[in-house]
Amino acid sequence: MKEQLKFFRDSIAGSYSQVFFSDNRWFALLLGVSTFVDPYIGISGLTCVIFSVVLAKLLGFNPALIRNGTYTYNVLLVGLAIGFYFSFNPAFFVILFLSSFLTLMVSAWLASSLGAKGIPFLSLPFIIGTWIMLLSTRTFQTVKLSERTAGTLSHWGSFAGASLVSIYHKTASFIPHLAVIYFKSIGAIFFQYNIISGLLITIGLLVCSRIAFSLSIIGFITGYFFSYFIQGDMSELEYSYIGFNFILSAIAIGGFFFVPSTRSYILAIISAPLIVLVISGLGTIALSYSLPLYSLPFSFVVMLVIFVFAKRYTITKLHLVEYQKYSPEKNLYAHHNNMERFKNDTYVHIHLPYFGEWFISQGHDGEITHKDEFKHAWDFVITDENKKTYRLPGADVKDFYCYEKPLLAPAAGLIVSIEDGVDDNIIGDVNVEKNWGNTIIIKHTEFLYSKLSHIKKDSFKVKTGDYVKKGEALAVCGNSGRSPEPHIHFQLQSNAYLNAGTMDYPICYYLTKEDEKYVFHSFENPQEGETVLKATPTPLISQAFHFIPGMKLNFSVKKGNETTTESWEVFADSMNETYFFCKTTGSVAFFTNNETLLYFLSFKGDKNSLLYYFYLGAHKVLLGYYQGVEIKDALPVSSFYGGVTKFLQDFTAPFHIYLKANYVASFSEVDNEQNPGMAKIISSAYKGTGKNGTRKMEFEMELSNNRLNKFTVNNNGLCITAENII
Amino acid sequence: MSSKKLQYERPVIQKLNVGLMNKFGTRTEYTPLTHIDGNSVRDLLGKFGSPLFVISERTLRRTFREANRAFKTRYPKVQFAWSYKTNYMNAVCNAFHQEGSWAEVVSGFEYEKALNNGVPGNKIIFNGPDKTEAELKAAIANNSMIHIDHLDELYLIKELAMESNKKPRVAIRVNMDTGVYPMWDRFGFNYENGQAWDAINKIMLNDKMELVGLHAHIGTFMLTPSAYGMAASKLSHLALEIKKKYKKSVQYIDMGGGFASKNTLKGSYLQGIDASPTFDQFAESICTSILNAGFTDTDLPLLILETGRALIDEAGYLLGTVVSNKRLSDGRRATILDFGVNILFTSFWYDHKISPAQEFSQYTEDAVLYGPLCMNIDVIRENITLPPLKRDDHVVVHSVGAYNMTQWMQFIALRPAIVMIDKDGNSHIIRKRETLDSIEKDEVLPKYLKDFKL
Repeated sequence: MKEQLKFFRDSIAGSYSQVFFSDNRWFALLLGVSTFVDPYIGISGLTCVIFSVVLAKLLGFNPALIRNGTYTYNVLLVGLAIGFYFSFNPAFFVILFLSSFLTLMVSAWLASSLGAKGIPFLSLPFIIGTWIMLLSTRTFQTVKLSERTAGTLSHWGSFAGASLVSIYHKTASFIPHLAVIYFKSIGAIFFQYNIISGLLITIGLLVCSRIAFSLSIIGFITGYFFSYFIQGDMSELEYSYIGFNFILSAIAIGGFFFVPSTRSYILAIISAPLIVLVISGLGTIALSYSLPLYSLPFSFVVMLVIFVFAKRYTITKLHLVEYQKYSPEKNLYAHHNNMERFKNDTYVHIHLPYFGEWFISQGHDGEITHKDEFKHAWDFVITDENKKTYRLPGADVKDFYCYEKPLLAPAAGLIVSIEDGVDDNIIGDVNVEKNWGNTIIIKHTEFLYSKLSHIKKDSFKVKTGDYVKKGEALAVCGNSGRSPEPHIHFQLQSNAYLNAGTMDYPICYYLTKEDEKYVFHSFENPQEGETVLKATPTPLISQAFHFIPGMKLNFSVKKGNETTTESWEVFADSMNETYFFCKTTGSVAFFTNNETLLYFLSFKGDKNSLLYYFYLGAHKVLLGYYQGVEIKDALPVSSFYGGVTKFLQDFTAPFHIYLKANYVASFSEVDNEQNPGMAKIISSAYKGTGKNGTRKMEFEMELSNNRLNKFTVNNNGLCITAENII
Repeated sequence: MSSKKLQYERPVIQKLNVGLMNKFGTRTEYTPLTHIDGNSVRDLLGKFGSPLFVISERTLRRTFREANRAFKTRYPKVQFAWSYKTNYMNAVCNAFHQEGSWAEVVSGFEYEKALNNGVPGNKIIFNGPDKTEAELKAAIANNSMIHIDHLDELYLIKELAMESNKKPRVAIRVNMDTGVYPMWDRFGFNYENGQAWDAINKIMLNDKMELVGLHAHIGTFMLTPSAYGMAASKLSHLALEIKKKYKKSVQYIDMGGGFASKNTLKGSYLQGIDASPTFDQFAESICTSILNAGFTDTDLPLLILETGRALIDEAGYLLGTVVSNKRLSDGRRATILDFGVNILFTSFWYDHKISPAQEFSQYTEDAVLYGPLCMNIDVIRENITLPPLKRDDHVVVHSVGAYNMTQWMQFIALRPAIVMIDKDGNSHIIRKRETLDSIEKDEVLPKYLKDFKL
């Protein structure tokens, strides 16, 4: 029952806040209140929302979409319109329910048809619903137009007491003309063409989102001055339900559907004149039927822009928001955080094709052969501590350390081609006729192939047409082709041909070794002269961080003198995303484990919970032990900043994010480097960057018995010790 | 040079050989070795007494690094464990530990020694057929790797595991046919007849123990690298089958020791230096087998090597002095030295290379080298061609680092001092010459045998 009520509360709130692209319930309440400045309109709107939510629920629509108001925000607008146009009588309610039903169905239809293409339907159902009502009711005698419609186009007719109206007019006279139009326009979205509603909504918008607020002003001013500039019909703009098109478009394009950025702001600015064109153009047609345009220009332009930009061939700038968080700020910070953390995570994971530590004797743009169209390739050899590739006398291929070492599949794929039968060269000689020597080409995905060359003759363990798994043995290193001494040539290419040019494609995860210290790299190109190795997991660490759905973890948490317990359970949602759910606080932390790293993606809930600290402390953990390796990562801005600092940052965030939060982790102790039975990982989360960062939180994770045993937090002197109890 | 008085050499009578020489020519050992790492043999003997064991730290470390490189350039995860029984002088052990070696011990005594040398419990491999209950308890408490030799030991560990809150980390020792004779089958469980699987099943089905590794020690002084390749394939196969059956990766494969040193075995036609494979040959054979066995990189096991002899033999020298010369009944020359089989135990196995420590002319003579013991078996070399040594001349025995300093006997004579020469050429005494006290301090004489007059 309680769940049901919550569902209805959220659905109704969602219907209001969705209009302003938000999911904030307080903002919804404020918007709701603002519709009651003219109570008839408010009642009419609310009735429609409640009716359509119940109906949608009964009809069995997607509960998630009902809950966030997607189906019903247009119904709300239609309800407000009807409340605005017609006076209350029994026929009014019949029309109200019918139009609600109609709009709900149009919403559901567009949600599935346009939604499948990733295009929002915005307020199209509202336009359709309202126009049908306006056109049809002209012939219905029982439906009476309300008197306020007469004043709609000239000035706001009053229904409130005369004294209130005079106060209202007095106050209004102190507000600059442009601001009055702005407030009225924003209020007009809810058919409240008055300053009070406008002011309420504006305050709500500012509190909810600085970006949306600034965009609403920018959009409005641009639209206004463009109309002024082309000597458009200013009266229509000032005294009709048109101005909000600029406001809504600016928010939608500048901050909601696109990740807010300088470019999205420019796009928002450019869209304002477009809207002016659409208003004038469509307005003429609509006027001939005496139909108001309402938000049609906004819907049309925004849908057009989104559709076109989503279908671009290359997307490097002006990213569309992929996972809608219903807040420009959240979208922006999440996008930045993701770009910083996983900018290359869309690449297929290509690993180094061997066991152990190899040396890159020729990298990209090499001096010898990695030139022009073959420049993105690597040559690998094995060296000893004196950087020699062979032991004395070095006259035979067998003296070379890498000779006959196994070559492994860099990623899963299909063997599309194998070239065999070329003999090993004697040391120093090259075979320029069959310059690639024995070669294998693996197809990983469309337009992504990997090629390994200079393989030993007759050493192939696979054949053309085989599917191989990542790391599966393919053949052994040889000295065939243009190879004066045993080495492997590794490249990625876009087609299956032996002579294909190379492709600039990164290696997903690897380590470089220098002076017995290791440095971790993700999605980078290993450089010539580096000793590189694959990051392979260590059993203790990978098992301790192997959280499988259904797994329960209980912690005894000691904070100062008080001891409490906190229980987590691991779940996987329908999108295959794994997350911890803290039963004690209801918090949720999403994470990913890709066998090389464990990292957290997002957190929602109680920031005093142990889970939140774990989300920060284990933000990114390398699952293999390597001496001296440091894992760095960026933390979301919201993990350290709040209040005024963040409020101010929000305004400039689309252009520059000056608040930074970072993360660094390393191994502090292992009992045995080869097969650790105990390991300690220390990590810290701090404000700012690099050495100047002020450390704020320090964490230590102790792993033993193949599990996370102990987790300690030092948050600015506040010490929390959590022990994993079985 | 001309002003220097020529040294007197006694005349030698040499049989005139007619016909062909053997293909190596006549081998003589008269190239003198006067200095070890910059220290003159004469000075060392003068300072520390004769006989004297000398260990060259320089050679020790160089040999270790050579072996380490041979494996590390071929396999990503390599770990050496110093075989204590080969030479458990603390200085030697610690030199290897400093190079990164773990410890491999075969008795409670060696286990304690390793702990005292500062080796963490989880870096000690406990091998051997005889481990007492108390020793096993200690090994379990310290998280050491226990290599199970027989089922009785497995059952005992199982019982101890029930009482302990720690999960013993065990491995089984596997014996197998690697194509060499003799096949070692007295240690561990047999691969071919299924004993090994029996033991593995018994461990895997018992959640009180953790199977961390597989161990094989296929023989000693092995001259065929391919046998190691065979052993490595069989162990890899076991590991992969365990993974298949129990979804559990074993952490390591321990190939044991047994690499031959450069000594010449008695009866060997070739000299040791020619007959013994190099570390590279052993490494090639082992690493290729494991790498090509079919492991994925997440369960590629750590390769542990318990090489002892091949790492330390060449670093050890025995310095001694000629006691006397005599002629045997058949006319052969015999030279008596001040060290015998009591301290040079390996002379039972090897024809040790022995060099004089001072210059001689080119004349040589066949001789028998005897030790000082009043025992007929005390023969150091039955046949050796040496220049005419005389009383108080010094000799140097090469490659004596392995097993002598652990298998020597306090028999008839006291045991000599051991000196280590560090990398800068400074000599450090690492074990003092024994005295009557060191032998008698543990003796207890019953009172009634004390006070009487003979």
